Amino acid sequence: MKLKKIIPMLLLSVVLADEGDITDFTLQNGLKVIIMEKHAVPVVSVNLWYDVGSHDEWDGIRGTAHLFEHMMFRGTPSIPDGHLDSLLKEVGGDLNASTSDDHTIYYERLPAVNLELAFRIEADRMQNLILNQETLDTEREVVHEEERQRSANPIQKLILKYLRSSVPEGHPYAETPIGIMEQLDTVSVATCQSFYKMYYAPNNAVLVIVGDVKPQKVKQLAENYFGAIARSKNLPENPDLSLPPREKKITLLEKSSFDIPVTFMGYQIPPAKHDDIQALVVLNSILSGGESSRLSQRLVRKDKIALFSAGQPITRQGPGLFFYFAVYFPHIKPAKIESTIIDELEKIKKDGVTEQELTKAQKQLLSAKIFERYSASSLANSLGSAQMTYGDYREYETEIERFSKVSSEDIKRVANTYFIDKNLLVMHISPENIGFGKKLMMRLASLFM
Amino acid sequence: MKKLFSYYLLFNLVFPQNVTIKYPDFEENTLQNGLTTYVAKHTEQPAVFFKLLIPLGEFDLPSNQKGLASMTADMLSKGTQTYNADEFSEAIESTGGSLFASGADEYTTISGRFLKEDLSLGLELLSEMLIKPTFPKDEWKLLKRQASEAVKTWHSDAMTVALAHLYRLGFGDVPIGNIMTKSLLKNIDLKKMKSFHERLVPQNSIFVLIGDIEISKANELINQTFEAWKAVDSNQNRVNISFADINGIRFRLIDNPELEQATIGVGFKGIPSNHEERHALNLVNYIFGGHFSSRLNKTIRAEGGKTYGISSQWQSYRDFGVLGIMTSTRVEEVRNTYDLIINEMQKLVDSGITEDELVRAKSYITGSFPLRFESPTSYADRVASNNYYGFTMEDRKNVIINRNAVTLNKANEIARKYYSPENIILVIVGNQKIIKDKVSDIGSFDEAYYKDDPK
Repeated sequence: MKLKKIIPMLLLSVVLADEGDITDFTLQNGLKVIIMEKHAVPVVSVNLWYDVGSHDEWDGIRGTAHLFEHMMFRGTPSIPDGHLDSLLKEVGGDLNASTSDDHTIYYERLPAVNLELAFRIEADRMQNLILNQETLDTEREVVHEEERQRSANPIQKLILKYLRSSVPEGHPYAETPIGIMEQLDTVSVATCQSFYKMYYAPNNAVLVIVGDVKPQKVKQLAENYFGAIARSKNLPENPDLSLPPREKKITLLEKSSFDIPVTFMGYQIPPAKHDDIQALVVLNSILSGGESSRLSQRLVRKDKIALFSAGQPITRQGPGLFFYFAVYFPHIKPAKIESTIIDELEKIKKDGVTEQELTKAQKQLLSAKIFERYSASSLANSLGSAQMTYGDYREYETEIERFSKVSSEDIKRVANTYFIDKNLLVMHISPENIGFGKKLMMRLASLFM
Repeated sequence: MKKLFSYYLLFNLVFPQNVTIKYPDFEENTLQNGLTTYVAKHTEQPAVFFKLLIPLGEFDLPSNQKGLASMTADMLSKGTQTYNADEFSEAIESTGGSLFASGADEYTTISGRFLKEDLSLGLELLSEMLIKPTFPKDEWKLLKRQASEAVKTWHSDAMTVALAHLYRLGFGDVPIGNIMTKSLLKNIDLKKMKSFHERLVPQNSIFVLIGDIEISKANELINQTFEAWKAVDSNQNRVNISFADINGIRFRLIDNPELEQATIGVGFKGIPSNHEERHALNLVNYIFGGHFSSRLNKTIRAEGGKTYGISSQWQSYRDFGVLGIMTSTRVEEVRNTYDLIINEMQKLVDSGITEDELVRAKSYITGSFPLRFESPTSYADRVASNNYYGFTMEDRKNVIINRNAVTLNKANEIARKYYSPENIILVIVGNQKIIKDKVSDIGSFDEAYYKDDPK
């Protein structure tokens, strides 16, 4: 009950702290720039989001968006190959990038006094990237190594398979960003050039700056460095990401060298900007927000059948996945784990959640937002994500308010809407090479549990 | 290149090299029980962070009790005189904060972060888990069952396997040379945990609190929190640990027939955290393999395309240190990659680093410091470790000045002293059928299977 009083007070202070901090503008060539002033530490984070991800690839070039992210570190006429990272490092900064289904993001984090360097680098590689056979071949080998490294971990390999299975073959999400190695081997310099020309342009990008900066100075830098870059004239439309309703539950059975059984369960959910996502996020906190959450209490604490369970809604531009996994004891049957999780979900569908659970979840989400605010890069990421998801970064500012409006009825409704059998994708992973003796021991162990 | 040079000059002019690091004003006190406390006000957000560091960990235990410190820490939240395990997790998680105990190699810590409204509760819970844990039998039974499954998975990751063998060969049968296995878990019981808990005493321990709170109020809460934590004489008998002096190449080949890649680990002796040569070693290692455009990364990833990542790391402890290089590559390239690593080490010894590389490394160190202090938790961590590693606050504040004072001659002396490619421990994890012929002429080797406990 006490918490109920605290939340509005905190909410108010968070909202007030934001007021006037964030500004934005759009250059004539279409580059959207978002600036958040944060003067606590002399640091700035620069995120450049390109609206291109693996879902934009077509058959024959699967993996190109991610390969291209690698190529973006290989140099321009003014920043030779191998010098990009050094330039940032010389001032104490760091840079990196990531590619998802929907987007490719380039990050710099550096002392605020050196902000201009990030502008030089990003503007330069947006228009002057050198693409040649030698660097393409080298980066292709590096991506192969990345893929081999991921595949060496048996669970990581199966997570990728699970995610690929969550949509029908041919859907833009049917391949993860790492792509198909055989297709990547045939990608040519000409394809890369065409990909670059098409997607790496100001009218397909959002620049987010968070840190110890003055908006006027940022605006001047943006105009100086990005203002003259031409728009992409042949920016393709986003592919159709919609999915037909699932007709039946899918269950995948896998063997793995991982010595403990694992089950993945996921329900298809709507795109990130759908109104139901807020309630699903709150519900996720109730189901798997720590040891006191419903699933952990049931699987780990009460029934003592799992070592660990967790989950999160995987949201994206197109349909996402309400994802859970449990790591459990070898003598427990996968069906038992699945039915126990479903039993907990059914309770919510029938009875909703308690006021106390709702308040706790909302407080957890609010606290996470407050802790996030220490980090310029986390804020830049959240603002960029809101802009790309909703088309308006201001949605980030109102997120807590929207979480606080979620009611028990909302949660019951979304649970009944999405947690339905035909909407479920399950993967049970069992350890391979279990000999007869070990199986017998497990059986005996289960009898004495 | 001209443009590049102009950036370089610009940023060196902008960033002065001889600056001290500004820490918040920490107030230091010593409580009656001997606990040293540091408190600072930090009002950026309505939150508070704290960390308790007790200088007792896995290194203070016999090697066959590896895991006791870690399991004891896990049990602290599984029941206290006031809360059972479920009530305890509910109380923490209802605040949206966190409270976490960790039994690490050198020390045990309890770290917390809470919104300022919840600080009193957070400290009450800290006091409960530190002073009044009850070690319930049923909770231990459950934790042991969970742990005995979890420890089976260490060999699923080739890097972990390589590191476990590298440390075993380098350190021998001491806590750091052992990985937690099912057989070692059998040596842990409630009696030993309770006895370890009794050795967690306030003397020589450090408590740091930083956040949106008045210092006087924080001190008042701290006094309440630790009032019942009594000073008790505790036998501290740290195991003598040092990395072996290696003459030649000590080589182990670990078979995992399922792997498409070979993972290479190279280890050699380093120096402790507070060693007088630490500033020079830090800079040399950064240049050699400490970042994305380091020598190792440039040769093996950017030019060679042989790996997704390679790094050289200096792992330092209070009493010793180790240097290690780790990478993975496709099996066909295992020998070439190894040769390239050794060539780079040899080049470092023969030709040293250049003045230009040293200036750039210093520039990175200088510029990167503000980035390390975005969250108050960074201050809490550093102040706590200052004391443990024997650094004064002045040492920490002057770290930039001291790094920038390293000369080229000194750096190259350090490179020659520590990076000898003739005297290394080498472990390679991969499909032996394919890689054995490619690496067998490196030197004599012993063999292991990836699922076997390192010996």
